[in-house]
Amino acid sequence: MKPIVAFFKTVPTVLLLLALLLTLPISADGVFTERSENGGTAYRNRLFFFGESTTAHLRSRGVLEGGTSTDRVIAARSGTMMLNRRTPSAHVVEPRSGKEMTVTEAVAALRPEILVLSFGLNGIVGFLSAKESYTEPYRALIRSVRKASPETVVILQTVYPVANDPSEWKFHQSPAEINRGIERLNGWLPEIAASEGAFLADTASVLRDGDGFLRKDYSADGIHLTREGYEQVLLYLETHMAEVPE
Amino acid sequence: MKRTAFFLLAFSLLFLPACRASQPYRNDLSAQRLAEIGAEAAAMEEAQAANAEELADMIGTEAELPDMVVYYSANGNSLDEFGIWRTDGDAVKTVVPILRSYLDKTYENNRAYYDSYIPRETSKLRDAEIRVYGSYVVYAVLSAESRARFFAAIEENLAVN
Repeated sequence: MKPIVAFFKTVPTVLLLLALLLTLPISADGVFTERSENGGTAYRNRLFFFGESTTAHLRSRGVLEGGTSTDRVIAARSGTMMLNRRTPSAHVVEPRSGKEMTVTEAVAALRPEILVLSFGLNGIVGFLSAKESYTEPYRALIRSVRKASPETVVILQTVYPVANDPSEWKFHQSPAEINRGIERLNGWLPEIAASEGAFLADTASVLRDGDGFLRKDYSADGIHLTREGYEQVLLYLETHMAEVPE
Repeated sequence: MKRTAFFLLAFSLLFLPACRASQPYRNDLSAQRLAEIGAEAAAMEEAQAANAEELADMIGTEAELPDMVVYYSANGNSLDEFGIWRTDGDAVKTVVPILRSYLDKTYENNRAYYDSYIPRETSKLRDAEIRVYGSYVVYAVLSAESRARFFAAIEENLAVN
């Protein structure tokens, strides 16, 4: 009798452990793009970008293929974008045709091999007061990208720091407070990436000075980057290449 | 005599707002139809209807959505938006605070961004208005001129003649 009792005590425990293992979330640590060989311009030319004005300025700085006429940046005519539930339906200029259409339509038209997303500074006050106002629209955006172009590899970027430069400052909060908020947002990005099968590139890490502010030599106006700042971001992406399926 | 007449007139004027509020309105127009009328009056550029997910996110519910239509401008330079929520009876009293909360949060949470990039638009959100027409709760985030035309069209189409 005892072996039978032992069996029935053991099996449910084993089954329970197996069930727990299978339902454990994907490790958020595994989403970061890891150090790789330098993919250089060849890799850079496979990237498309969509995000806030810090992304749109990639075009004006001329750091991508095509220079200031690059067709690798999806942006609204206003040159900026805020992440919310309406972002997939927001009107942007599809860079190859020059036509205005929704974000989802632009992604479907371009079928980017790799799409680099960057959101967080615009609307940060609201995001910090309600985490889901950041995480859920970001997830929805990634899903809309996947629906429009299933093969696209999505890379999220950590939110860039802001500079300690009050002269052009537009926020009510100080740069230090904004950077603390940015770090909170960056702490949420791994779980977003993990849950949506996206990569996360810690590009913000190459932009910070010793105090966590955007380096002055990378800062154009406290928020947007200089050409050199964007070159550092692109170098990070090129040396931390995402795995793209064959 | 004149003084009495004056006080009688003044006293009766106190009831005018209540009379306006209790003026009967139609309740047979769908929120969609009313929204189309409003969109034409507001002459909103790049008007886009909010989808179900966006509506649920706005009003913070995962329950079945009400008869509600929201139009907003898909142009990133415009904050133009309006919404029509058709409900009945006492439910109207719960709708107004929901919409007020949505508008206030949108303004407060995004003011830095709007003031920075589209400062002329922020006043539309700051001055957003909610009005009740019987079974309809209507809000508008529009310029003063567009808002006047918009609400005039809503009133005209809902008032019982």
